[in-house]
Amino acid sequence: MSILKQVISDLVGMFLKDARLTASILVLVAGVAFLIRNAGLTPLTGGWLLLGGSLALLVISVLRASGRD
Amino acid sequence: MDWATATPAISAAFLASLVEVVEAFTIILAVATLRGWRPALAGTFAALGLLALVVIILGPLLDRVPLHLLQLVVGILLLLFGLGWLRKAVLRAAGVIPLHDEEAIFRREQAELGQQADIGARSQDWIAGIAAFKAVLLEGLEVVFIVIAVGAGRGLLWPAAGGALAAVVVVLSIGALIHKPLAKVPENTLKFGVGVMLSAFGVFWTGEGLGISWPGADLSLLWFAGAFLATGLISVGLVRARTPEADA
Repeated sequence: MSILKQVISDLVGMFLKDARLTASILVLVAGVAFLIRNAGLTPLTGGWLLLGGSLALLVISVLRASGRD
Repeated sequence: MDWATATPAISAAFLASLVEVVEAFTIILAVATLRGWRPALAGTFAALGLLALVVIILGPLLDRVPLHLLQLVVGILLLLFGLGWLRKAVLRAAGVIPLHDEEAIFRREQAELGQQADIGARSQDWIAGIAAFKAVLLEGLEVVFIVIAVGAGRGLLWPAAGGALAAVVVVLSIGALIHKPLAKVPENTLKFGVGVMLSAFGVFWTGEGLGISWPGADLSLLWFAGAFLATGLISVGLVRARTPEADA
């Protein structure tokens, strides 16, 4: 049973290493999808927003972690 | 097979698997040197059998998922996974968190297994076998995910699986020769590179899943990888500048 628990926790941990980073990525993707589908944003502009947002989230997450640690 | 499309998927699967197999090999070797190769191999093959079962069950299901949905789900998971790896690699490169030390993990695993000396030899073999099983299963699941994630969107599962298999062969061949944990593998550099590639794939597939046609099609992966690499390196510099004691 402990093996199963560890496997599940490891699987979840693969994608949720940092809860705030995970939440931010999901919000970014949902936001880009919303803007493309409902706000008339061209898909390609949405794509650049997705790329730029991901890069920004990386920097923010790293700086936040370095300040905390 | 179009090599311009397949090469990034194969190299991402190879490099990511290299990191995972090195980590699993350290535990297998710790088990083998303490309790012999029998429990180490029994645990390893049991885990490989379970992983094969997961692939056999999941593989056909992937064909039933609509392509755009598959690309979107895999893309988001890759973004979560890749940015997580890249973030950790940046923090390690900047000296904020310690580097992964295979020698230390090897010694710790041996010490943990050595604590069971008061129970019978058969039970010790079981515990050692389970340690190998867990290590191979946990690292193997990550390999399976990466192979599916980088290969499924373009029908490149087999080439990506070939990349992963090549990593297994390389690590086991070197491991069999030197019979020590592969501590000299530049693991954080590899993780940095893999984080860059997985994040690039994540943006690419998420975009495709959202209906975005990237300029240059698959070649845009290279631009994305370049952007993540540059941002990762700049982040290392920023963190070092903020925490000068990290360099000490």
